[in-house]
Amino acid sequence: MSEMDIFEKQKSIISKLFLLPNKFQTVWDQVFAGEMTLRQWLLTAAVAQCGDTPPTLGKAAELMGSSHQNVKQLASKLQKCGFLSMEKDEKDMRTIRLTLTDKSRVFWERRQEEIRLYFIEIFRELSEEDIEWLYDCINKLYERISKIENVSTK
Amino acid sequence: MDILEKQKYIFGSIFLIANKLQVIGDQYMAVDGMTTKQWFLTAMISQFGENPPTLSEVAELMGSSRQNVKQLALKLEEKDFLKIEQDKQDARALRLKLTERSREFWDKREDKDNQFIKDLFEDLSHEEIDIISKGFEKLFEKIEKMGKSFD
Repeated sequence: MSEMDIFEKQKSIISKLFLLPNKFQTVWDQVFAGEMTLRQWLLTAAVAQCGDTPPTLGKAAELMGSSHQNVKQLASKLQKCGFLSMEKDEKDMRTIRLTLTDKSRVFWERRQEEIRLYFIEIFRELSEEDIEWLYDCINKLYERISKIENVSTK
Repeated sequence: MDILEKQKYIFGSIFLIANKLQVIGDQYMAVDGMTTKQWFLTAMISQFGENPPTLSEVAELMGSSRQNVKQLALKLEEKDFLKIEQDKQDARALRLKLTERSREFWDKREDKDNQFIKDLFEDLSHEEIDIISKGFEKLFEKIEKMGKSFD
């Protein structure tokens, strides 16, 4: 592979990184008919990821790589719909912790099949092996980009 | 981790990395009064070459709303990097034309910008870059097809 080929591939990756999220969202909106946006689901997944340790807004923002403001907006929306509770931390009254409600759990359990199909469709052109490799390589890219971000935000 | 978990992880990572890339890009270009999103709009318009696209065409390409693209376009117009003109044949359509000033701006920094891009992939081997590139191509083709089947 020539140097030029590699550079073209790098540019293509960057371009797709900006294009894919919007496209994923458009199809999601069509499948879920505006019931819940993709970004609301991503926040739900981020909070669920924290298990028994309800995250703060800051932690959720960090997990999503999003701004505090954006996550606050998403969280408020979820709270209004009864999917999220935002409560003061028992030990530190200034900190707010995000917890998913039973309503949220029930909602997403009912839609597990739709979500599974959504991902099966999106990844249909990739073999299991493709997915394994892509998983490893994306991890590496994520580490590299995080390193750059940490250096430049100091 | 089963396959579905890995798919979700890849999916989530794309959002995450894109967000981080925007933060890094914004910092990199702030000194020149440019943002990552404005750069990306410029790159998308450039793809149309000699035929300036309409606002709708660019919005569709980017999977973004006309409103969002218009806001970005106005910012570029403010800097004299873009001209937003009424289409000669269809008065309702707006054409986006990059200016000479825009071309000069990006030409001048080309080497620096190319290096910035290469740095993003510093720890990755050629094979790893190839794997991500091919993987993203496949995801993109599929999601485009899925999007059209709903039209």
